[in-house]
Amino acid sequence: MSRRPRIERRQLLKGTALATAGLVFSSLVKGLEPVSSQTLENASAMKGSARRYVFVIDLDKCDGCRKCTEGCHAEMHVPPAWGDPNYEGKQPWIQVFDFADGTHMPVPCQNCQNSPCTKVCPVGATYYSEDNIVLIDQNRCIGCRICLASCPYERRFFNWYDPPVTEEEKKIPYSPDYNIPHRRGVAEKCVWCRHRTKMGMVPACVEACTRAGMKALWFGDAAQDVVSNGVDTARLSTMIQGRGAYRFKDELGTSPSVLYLPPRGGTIT
Amino acid sequence: MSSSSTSKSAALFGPIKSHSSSSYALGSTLLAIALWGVYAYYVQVTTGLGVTGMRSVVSWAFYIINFVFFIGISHVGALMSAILRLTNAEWRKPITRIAEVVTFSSLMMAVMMPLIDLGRPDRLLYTIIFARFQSPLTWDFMAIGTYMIGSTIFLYLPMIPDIASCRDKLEDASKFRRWLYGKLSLGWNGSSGQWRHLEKAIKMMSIIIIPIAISVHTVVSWDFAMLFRTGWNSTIFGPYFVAGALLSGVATVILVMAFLTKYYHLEGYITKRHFDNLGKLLIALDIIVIYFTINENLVPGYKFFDSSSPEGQWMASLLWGQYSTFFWVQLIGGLVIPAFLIGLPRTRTITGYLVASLLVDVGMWIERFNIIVPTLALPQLSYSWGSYVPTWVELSIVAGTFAGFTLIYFVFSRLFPVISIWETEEPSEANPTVFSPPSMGLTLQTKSTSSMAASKRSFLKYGTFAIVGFALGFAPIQVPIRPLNSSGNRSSVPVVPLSNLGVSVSLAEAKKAIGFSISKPTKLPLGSKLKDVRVLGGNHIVSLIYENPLIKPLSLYNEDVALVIIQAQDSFNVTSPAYLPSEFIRVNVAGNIGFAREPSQVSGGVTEPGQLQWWINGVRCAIFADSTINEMTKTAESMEAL
Repeated sequence: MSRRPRIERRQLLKGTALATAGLVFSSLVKGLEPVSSQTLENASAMKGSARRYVFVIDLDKCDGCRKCTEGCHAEMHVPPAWGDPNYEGKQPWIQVFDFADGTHMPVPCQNCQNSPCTKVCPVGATYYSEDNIVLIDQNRCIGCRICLASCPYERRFFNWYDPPVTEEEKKIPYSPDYNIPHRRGVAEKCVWCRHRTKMGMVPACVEACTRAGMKALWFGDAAQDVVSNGVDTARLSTMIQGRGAYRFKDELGTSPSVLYLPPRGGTIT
Repeated sequence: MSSSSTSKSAALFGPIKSHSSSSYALGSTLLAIALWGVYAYYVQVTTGLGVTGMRSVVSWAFYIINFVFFIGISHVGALMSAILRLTNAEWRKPITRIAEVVTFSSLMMAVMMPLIDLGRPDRLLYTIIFARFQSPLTWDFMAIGTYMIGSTIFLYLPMIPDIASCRDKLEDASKFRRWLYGKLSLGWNGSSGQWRHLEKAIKMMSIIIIPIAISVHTVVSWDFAMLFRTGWNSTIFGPYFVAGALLSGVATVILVMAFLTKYYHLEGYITKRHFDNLGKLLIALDIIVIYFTINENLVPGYKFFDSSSPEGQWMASLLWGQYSTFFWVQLIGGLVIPAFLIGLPRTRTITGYLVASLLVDVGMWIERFNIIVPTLALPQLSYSWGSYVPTWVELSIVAGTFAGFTLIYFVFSRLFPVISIWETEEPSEANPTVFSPPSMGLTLQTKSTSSMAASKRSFLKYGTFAIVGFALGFAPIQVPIRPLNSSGNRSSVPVVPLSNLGVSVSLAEAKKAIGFSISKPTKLPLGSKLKDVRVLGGNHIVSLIYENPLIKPLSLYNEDVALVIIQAQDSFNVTSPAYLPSEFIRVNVAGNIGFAREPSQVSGGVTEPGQLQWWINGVRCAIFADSTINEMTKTAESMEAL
């Protein structure tokens, strides 16, 4: 045998293992550091915004004309649903359900403030914008579709093929606020027309509803107690007073931002 | 194949030494099926996941089912080797490696399935670069990675003496094989020191692999149980999945064992006793899974059995609805009949075990289907069920993975002995080069005082390592845990990046791109200079960004921005603003309607700039500036078309 090395392989391996264990332990300890103003700030990053956007959907006024879905399709250049028997034509980012008692229910993204989709995303492609709107960064999405499985409102969609994109759309700079041009293999969702709302405009579906004369969809800022349908402005608190406003599947604890006003004299479905 | 030999171990080396034409035929058939699966994946990657039967409602299907199934059968290695090894069940010796190779080859297939299922496989590395530890999928990737490495080591360690036997015994092997055996045997020479270390390592791995295996399948079940879905809202998913996994694994080992015994003439090693013992394991696990199935369905069935509740609809679809065929076929065919086949003495034959195992395996695949597809198809809001029919692409890829699994097993059995030689063979005159452990009664070293001092020294030495590692942890290294918010380093002031206003273009380009006529102010605070023009949303929105060294920059943006003028196409005539906070007051901008507000403190020291919105000819204009309504109105009135 040649001369003995100063550190044997086995010792080196043991030492490395112990050093790694120490490293892991110290990073755990770091995670347990006492709550400071800094950590509190990070934890409440979601609440940092002065805005608290809400949708108010007056089911009493909705006549199920689907103008909101059409308006959305035109504004957001929504990709097709590729033969999903549940969704004819394009992906219904705002979908209108018809009930047996003659009422209708439009369902956009509920913009949960404790949203299951941001929780489960493995790469952080789904996140809250500065004003707490759930957005999806399609430059990061890996297409695992766990958000589709996790959304209790079925308001997540997927681009199964290459969506048709016009030359005009290709020129539009990509931003998670607008998600255009659309591309294959990533998840899609309603983003509450953030490219419009941060300009002080109402989302396209609200505008379409008002234009059709229904005025069933309202959009606004709960922090300032104001909602609008694009033409009229109203106080949110006055509007929902005595109407039995409810949030859809509120019992799940997702804290959705859409308030539904049930039809007068009707039953809540 | 191998002729009668003086030694039993000739049967073990036989498949490695000689290859019949039938084995080439089998190998190439398997390869052809696997390659067909690869072609199907190529089609899927080039055209999109739309070639599968999955759609937005049933968004996970065959690939994920197959993933859960293969992860499931991989559990048998841990059970058979680790648990039986630790409990000193001597009968397991000839079949340990058979089970471990099942683990290895099924894991190879299982890790591929999530990748095949990804919409953007090119971004696979994002799961590491942007890993978020809040996501069950990240736990999954980590658990499977650990399991893959752990079970490969666990398979490899007890193989080392046998690879060395191959190295020494098979002198007429091809160059590649000699190289392979030489490298993989790690210079094994059978010294007592090597045996001691090996036994210690195997024992350690046996203990480590059990929690890893159980946690892996539990984490896989959490991929479902953590999501808001009727049918997945279950707290027993972890043990339910683990029990099902072990059941399908044992069934697979029985199938593989029967095949190998027949094909490689291993009757000298694998006897009826092994089938009987595995049969006992199978029936025990089978009954456990039946118990879990009853538990999993009876509780929601009793509580929510009403067609108006989602749980009721889900139960109805399984019990007599559209998925009832699968449910009952799995329950009766995949669980109850196998229990009777093994339970009744009359059918307790090798054929009986084979039929039972085949039924269990097919049944467990269907069971994974029953867990995933009906739950996803269940309407969350609407009253229409989602539908799912697999396409040729999915069927080909799934067939390809089964062929791939068999192929890996087959190639392995042609390269290495599938039965642990050193654990089953006594050293004999006929086999002088087969390594076997030194006879029992390894000299247990009693610790002398000098070795006590040595262990104290090594304790100090290793303690230093641990402390250095601990200290390193406090080095300012960024760990890539993504915060829930988009911006990593958030300050308390909500800062809007300028890129939110779109891409930077020249004024001439903006004029060309925008669908309406852009206006430009002529009266601006002294010293203002056009800094940037940005376009957003195609022909929708244009922003003119001004800087002014004399004015404090707007706290809204993180750059030197004194004033922003935004113009957007508004598609209908507005008589009042869209939604604007109540502090906005109505102003008149040269005869046009406008609303404005003074700069203000909002909350937490945040300054919101003054804002003026007005409409000219269907174009919505807005000014954000740290100036009074009066000044902003003056600027607005000076707007001229470009």
